[in-house]
Amino acid sequence: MKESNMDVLHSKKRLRWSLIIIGLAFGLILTAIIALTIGPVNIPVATVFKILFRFPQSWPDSYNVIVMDVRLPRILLGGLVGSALAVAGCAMQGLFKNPMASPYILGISSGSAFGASLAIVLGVGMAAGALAVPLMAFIFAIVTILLVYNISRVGGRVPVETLLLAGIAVGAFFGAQVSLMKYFAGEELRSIVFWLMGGFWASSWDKVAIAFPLILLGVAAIMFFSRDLNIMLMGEDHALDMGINVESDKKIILIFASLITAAAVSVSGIIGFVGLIIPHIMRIIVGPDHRILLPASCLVGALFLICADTIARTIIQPTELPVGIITASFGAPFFLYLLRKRKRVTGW
Amino acid sequence: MKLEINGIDFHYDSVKALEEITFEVNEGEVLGIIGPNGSGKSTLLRCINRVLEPKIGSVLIDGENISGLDRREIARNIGVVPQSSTIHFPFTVFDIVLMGRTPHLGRLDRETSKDLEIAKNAMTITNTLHLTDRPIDEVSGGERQRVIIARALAQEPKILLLDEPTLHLDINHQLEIIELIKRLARKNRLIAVLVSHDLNLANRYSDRLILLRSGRIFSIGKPEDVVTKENIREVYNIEVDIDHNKKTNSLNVVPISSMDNKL
Repeated sequence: MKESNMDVLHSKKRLRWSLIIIGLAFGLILTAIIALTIGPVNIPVATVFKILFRFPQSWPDSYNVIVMDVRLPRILLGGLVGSALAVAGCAMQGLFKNPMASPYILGISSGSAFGASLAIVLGVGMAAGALAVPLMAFIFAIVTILLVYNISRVGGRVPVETLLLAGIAVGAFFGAQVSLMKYFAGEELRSIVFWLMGGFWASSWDKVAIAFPLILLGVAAIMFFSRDLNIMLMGEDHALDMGINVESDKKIILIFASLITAAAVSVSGIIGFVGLIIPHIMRIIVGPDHRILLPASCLVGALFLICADTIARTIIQPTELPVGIITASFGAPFFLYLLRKRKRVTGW
Repeated sequence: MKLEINGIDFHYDSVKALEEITFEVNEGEVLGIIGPNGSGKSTLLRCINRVLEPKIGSVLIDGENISGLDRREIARNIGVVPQSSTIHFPFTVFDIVLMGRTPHLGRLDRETSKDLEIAKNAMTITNTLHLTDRPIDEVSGGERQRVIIARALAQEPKILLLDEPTLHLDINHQLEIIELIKRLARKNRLIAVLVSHDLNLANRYSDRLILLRSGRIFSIGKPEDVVTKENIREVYNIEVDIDHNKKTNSLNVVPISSMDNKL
């Protein structure tokens, strides 16, 4: 390989990355706009644009409410949650060097489910307003991660194997408490089950306002560590040899991955599959380098969840399906197709 | 340029792993570390770049104590070639070598043409240039080890630490790797500290040897002074024949019998 070829090769890679990002961003915006038009009332694209950019009104008043207060916050929330889960899953898989890792691997899902169930059963929802359930879910997600982290700490180090096991154990504990509450929930059982299945039917601008800053911050922070994540894939010892502060990196990545997972779960319940499989799909398509893998997963996670939610809310009108059923039903076959085509999961 | 190890003690919890290790290495020199399993060879290597923190003692590079340096600064001085490492992710060979530039790059910096140039040079030296866009998980063991050496060289270190770099390689690739290491020390004026289980390779290619026993330096010096029948019997508990090979101008160690084999 000639010297000039190497420069060409390198700039070609950069160009390819830029094109992937631009293409996916464009696809995401397009998806969101199409999703805005679809629903019990189909609204033409042109009208949607006019509503978004506040053109003089020439349509029924109800359209404003449907687009601005029902569909838009729901789509934004779907996108945010999809991004958060995909990026957190990507970071966890890289950190644990384990293909089974997902955003929920440290028990965050069970912890937040416990918080949410508690809020539902105790009827905190009545007292503290509509945001009591997400708030309790968020608090218990953070409690869970702090618990798991501190249990796993040995001296100044946090071995990932211990983290995994502690996460499973703490998750199992909270899972049992959730079952206990379901058992005694009586009338509230339905609410708990619905929350556990995850979905966006209770979306609101309030939730968007809570989730947006947390997820933006966390996703940006994790992307800041892309190169370190690449090197940590070589093994923690080698990463130390190459000048990476493994322990402090690990702590920071864990904190932000947990933060965005907690934010996502607290506004939408436990939506499975996205955080596990989107990173795998993107690893097969764009390769293992986190500098492209993280942003690509972020965009595709959002795109995928918006699509899934659009299907979930329209497929059995006038009612809707929990979005988790859609994510797994459509995503799993696609993933299996890729898996067969490539004959192996890239990297594992 | 000089690497000095001053009185290093290291404990794994309550087990003493290294005791009173003191030696120095000069630029252009290959220092081999030999000794039985559990004698502290790898631990010593990991103490040198402070992946393990010695209880007492210091490591000096050109008189500067590296305990004051952060990991990035240490990585700019010391490159490490681990025991043959498998990498399961399909990064290209070039990506892997470029990772060696990490200690020189800020978080959001992109690699400049200077970084590409340095990586390219490292690949030329290690004869891996033709592998540039091959996925690392598809190259052979010998090739992969050369790529890992190229990655360490891309860090532009003054010191190379090698932990059994020829493990699992066939004899042809063992020679190729070890001659490369020797050449790097001589031509690029690097310090190479090499842990090896292969007494023949170690004594043939090292300028000096350290023989470790139970965490202490049992013997240090020229290969012919360290690899003697008496020392080997004492440390490894085996009888050996040692003769001089005229073609390689080095010692040839032939194990005869194990003295603790009473079965």
